[in-house]
Formats: sequence, structure tokens, C-alpha cells
Amino acid sequence: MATPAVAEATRVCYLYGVVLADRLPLLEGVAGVGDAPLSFVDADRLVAVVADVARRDFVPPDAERADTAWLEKAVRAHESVLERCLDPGPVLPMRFATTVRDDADVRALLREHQIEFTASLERLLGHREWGVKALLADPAALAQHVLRIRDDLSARDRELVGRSPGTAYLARKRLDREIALAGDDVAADAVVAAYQRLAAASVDALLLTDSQPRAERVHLNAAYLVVEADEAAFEAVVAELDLEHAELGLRYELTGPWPAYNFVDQPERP
Amino acid sequence: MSSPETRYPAMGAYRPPPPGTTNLADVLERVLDKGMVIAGDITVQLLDIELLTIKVRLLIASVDRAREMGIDWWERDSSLSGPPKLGGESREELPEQSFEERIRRLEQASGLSNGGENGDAGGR
Repeated sequence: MATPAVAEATRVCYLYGVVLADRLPLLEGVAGVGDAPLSFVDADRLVAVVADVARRDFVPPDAERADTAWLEKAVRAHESVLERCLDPGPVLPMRFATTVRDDADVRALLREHQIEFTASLERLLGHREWGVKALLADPAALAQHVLRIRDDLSARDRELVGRSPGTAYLARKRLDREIALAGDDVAADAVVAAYQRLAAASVDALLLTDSQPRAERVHLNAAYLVVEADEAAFEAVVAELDLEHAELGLRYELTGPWPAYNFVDQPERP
Repeated sequence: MSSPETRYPAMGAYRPPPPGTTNLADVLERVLDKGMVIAGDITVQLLDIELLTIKVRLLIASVDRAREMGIDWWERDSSLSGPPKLGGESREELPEQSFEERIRRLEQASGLSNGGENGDAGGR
């Protein structure tokens, strides 16, 4: 249990997530956001993982200056607490910086949402979220592939080789553009097929439209809810896709297991 | 179609990364934008912490910050580095609708139809 707030006005309760009482994680040695010690707040079959945080410790020293080192540490701390929760069973992950006043509020929250939280956790039992991205690792390979499958473009490509740079310049520009567009099309078809194959190896699939910036172009960003016993088979499909689509310049990236960020039911829309 | 197991390379590149080495961008994507949001009488999202979250989002939306964090989103911006568009048709992104159209088209082409984008286990 969290200790009562010492300085009431300056302390808040940071809520990481909710787990089932019979699937309690071991939280020794896990540093929470702002290094605040973690504790449990229980209500019947549900247990919230919380930390009593000082507001001044939690808010970065100079928020205006946007301390990226602080942010990375805090976000990774949030994630690592939830990952530890995932060891014995499912966790309902709360969004970063979810805070309530105190333990009493946490308990009231658990009671208010008892039925839906319990149902969500039971539905997630034996399942974990995995992320799959398809990145264009080798644009040149994709262009080569397009030339192999498109006789019209490869004929124009050959024709331009003998021309002087001056006259060929604009034609070359236009051809490169068409090759790139044809490549987009090929890659898009490939990742749609990939998405489906992975969906068939999972119990739930979600296409994520927004992704954080990456150096390589992201052609597919998807989340899958996979039965734990099927994880090896799921991973094998990813490996298989990576092998098959290497000639298109695509590289597949598997991440996880994640707390089921993308497969939790929102109790109420804000 | 052969089973995935038989075609799985002996040591594929697809081991999930060990804990703590996950790409920061992947973590941010989930921790900041996903997860359960609770709104209600009981929860009190303290104003300053909400502001902090907003600042965090702004922070990540900034190119300079992204660069500092080792994220190079400008390289994905086709107006800076990618193929110019033809005929005004934007094809840079893969909108969900076109993705679903492609799924339908591929299903028709392959004679498959397992109905819906969500996977039916054992659909193949």
C-alpha cells in the first residue's frame, strides 16, 4: 500500500496500470518515473500499480526547455514498470502521466470500473501484444525490382544510358519518379499481404496509421494480439516475410511483447 | 503453402530486442499515444501534469528535438527527400481506406476471402 501523503498539496498518485490480484508482478528493483517507489492498491480482484510522486520531482526541472533526457528516462520508466507487470499476466496500461489525488481515488476508480477492467484483463489472459513494422531499408533494391517486372520502364532505362547527360537529364528525372511510384505500389501491395498473413497468425490485428519518425520509410506499422503459445509461429511468419520481401528492399521489425496498449477497451472516451 | 516452421531460417533476425534496448520511437508511440485514458469524476488529471504531457507531445513534434533523440523524420518527408508526386495524386502515405481496398483486391485476386481485416485464426 502506498504510504499516506506526507505533504498533501505536493504529492499525487501516479497510476501505471491495473492487474489481476492473482497475477501480481514482482516490482523489486524496478525504478518508476522519477524513481518513486512502487506500490499496490487493491480492490477485490483488481490491483492498481501506483507510485506516490512529488509533483516537483515529476515535472521536469525546466519544462520550457524540454529536457529530452528527462523525457526518455520517464517514458522508459513507465514502460519498464508495465513490462514487469506483464511477466505474470495481463496488464491494462494507463497512458503516460495518468495521475489521481490519492490511494482512495485509485480504489474508487477500480470499483467504478470493476466489471469492465476485469473483463478486459480476463480477455487478455494468455495473450500479448506484438508490433510489426515494414521499413524500406533498401530503396535501390525496390527500384531494381521495379525494373525487373516493368519492361516498359526498363526499356526506357536502357535507352537513357547512351544519351548525353544534358539531354537525358529531364527524361531521367521523370523515369526515376515513375520508378519510385511503381515501387510504392509494389511495396504497398506487399505489406497488405503481409498484414493479412500476420493477422491470420494472431487473434486481433490493428493497423497503426501514425508512427514516430524514422530514418527509413515505414510502409507498415501494425499491432497484433497473439496467443502466447502461438508466439513462435507468429515470429516465424515475420521472419518468412522478411526473407520473401528482401528483394523489394523491405525489412521487417518485430517488437514486443508489449503491454496491450492497442487492445485495451477505453472505459470512457475523454 | 508450407508451414511457417519449415521455412523459418535457423537464426532469423527476429528475436525481440532484449528489455531496455527497445527503440525509443517505438516506446514513445505506445506510451504517449496509446494505453487507457480514464476520464471521470474520480480521476483528477492535474493541470500541470496535463500541460506536461502536452509539452511532451510538442517536444516530439519538433524536428530539432527529434534529431536530438536520434529520430530522423524529415528524411521521410517526400518534399525534402522522397520521390516527387505525379499528377497531384498523393501516394506518400498509405491511408487506411486504400489499405482496405488493397486487401479486398488481393483477396479477390488470390481467391481468398476470410472476411474482414482482423485475423481469423486458421484462416489459411
